[in-house]
Amino acid sequence: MNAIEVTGVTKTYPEFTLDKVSLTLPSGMILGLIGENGAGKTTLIKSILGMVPIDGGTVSVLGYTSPHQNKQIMEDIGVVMDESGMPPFLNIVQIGTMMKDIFQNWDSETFNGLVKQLKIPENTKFAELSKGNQMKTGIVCALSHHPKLLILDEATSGLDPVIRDEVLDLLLDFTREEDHSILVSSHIVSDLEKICDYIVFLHEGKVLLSEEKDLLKEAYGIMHCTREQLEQLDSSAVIGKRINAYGAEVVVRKDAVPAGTELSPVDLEELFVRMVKEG
Amino acid sequence: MKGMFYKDLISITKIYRSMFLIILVFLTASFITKGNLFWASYAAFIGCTMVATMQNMDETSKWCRLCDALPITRSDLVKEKFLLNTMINLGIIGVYLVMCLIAMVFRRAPEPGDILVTLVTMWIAGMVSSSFTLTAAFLFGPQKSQLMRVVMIVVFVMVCMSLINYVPGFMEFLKNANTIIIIPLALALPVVIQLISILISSAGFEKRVL
Repeated sequence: MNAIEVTGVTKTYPEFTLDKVSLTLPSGMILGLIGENGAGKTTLIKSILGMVPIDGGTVSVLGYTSPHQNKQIMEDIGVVMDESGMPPFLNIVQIGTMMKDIFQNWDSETFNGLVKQLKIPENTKFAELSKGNQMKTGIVCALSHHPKLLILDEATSGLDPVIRDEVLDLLLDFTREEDHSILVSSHIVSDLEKICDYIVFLHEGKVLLSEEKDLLKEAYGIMHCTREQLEQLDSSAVIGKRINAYGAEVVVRKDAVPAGTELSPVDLEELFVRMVKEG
Repeated sequence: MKGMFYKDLISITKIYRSMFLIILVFLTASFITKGNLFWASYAAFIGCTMVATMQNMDETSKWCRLCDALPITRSDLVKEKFLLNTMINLGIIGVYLVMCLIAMVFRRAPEPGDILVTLVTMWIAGMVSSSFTLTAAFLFGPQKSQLMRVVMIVVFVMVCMSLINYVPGFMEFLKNANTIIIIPLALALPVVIQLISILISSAGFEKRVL
């Protein structure tokens, strides 16, 4: 069963269009949504959750459409948005008390444990917490009602590298249960590279690429060559290039370059940046 | 809904401490001015506009948007705010009653007929005004509803002052009206208005993109 199935979703705003986006998140997997600011990640996530009406296409989450109109489905989904939206005048303990009455499956023990683990100040109002601690609060709440699906929109953006690493470990722990899945959007590509099974590149409202991460890394490589060698390359093999005084660094499709060409591995960030820049 | 009540009660006690003091001052003023209806009904009026302000704050802080991702429906949000508003209105009326009882001990309480008229007027002021302010908050969002509330306050003050101070015999009419008919009607009508407001607010809020 797929945790999320999105087919041809279109959403038009006056200055932006999410254009026939399709993606699938198989159950038990982590899908990373990579895109620059304004690429449409948040709009896509809101469309998936039914928070904005879509103009076309279909969305299915845990087998249901329009999850936000179904309380039972929302019990099974943990969501962290880019601005977590917690009540500004409540501290973390009070937020826990509130959530206990909102979620049927709320687990106070897990909540208190995560609050301590992530060192969130207990007596500070949410509005007075740092951006990082606000995000951590959102993540802790999303994990404390034992959801089957986590949807995180730029959830690690405001966190320092040490805490980000801790959060990523939490997410990996979460997917140890085979029916637990995560959809995570970020522009910090290195984070997604560490944890994701599937990667979707989103650019100007369109899917540039949707692939299994390992296949993606196998399919592309970086070729260090001279300008002359670059000119001899088949143009369909070139995803992107960076030319400097000493030669060229070219991101290429491995199957389109001559056999035996020496290639170094490409990271997702380089691949994404090259793809976006080359259009 | 219990969780949302908890959140709102904590928030109200943190944000509106000074507002509760002002309400207390207005209620006291109604005694000092020998049962002047304006002060007591204005206390109920501003007490109930607090909930609309809270709704605006919830929207600005993205709490309403987060609720879309929680097992809370938009209709739950609407019902909770209207219920909270009724509780606050009843609370303010309760405080006025307690003040009346204390005044009775010192033989300074208004006439029972005056107290009854004041209580009913407070109920109407709180319920009817909040029906409009909350509906505006749910239908039009923080900015527009804020403006509408300011307009409502001005209209409320002008209407009340005019009726009480410049329409001859208005107070006498209230006191001498057939209480068996007028009082139940005055109690029921705001409830009907509020129920209609809940329906309109739920339908409108459901359609808004937050």
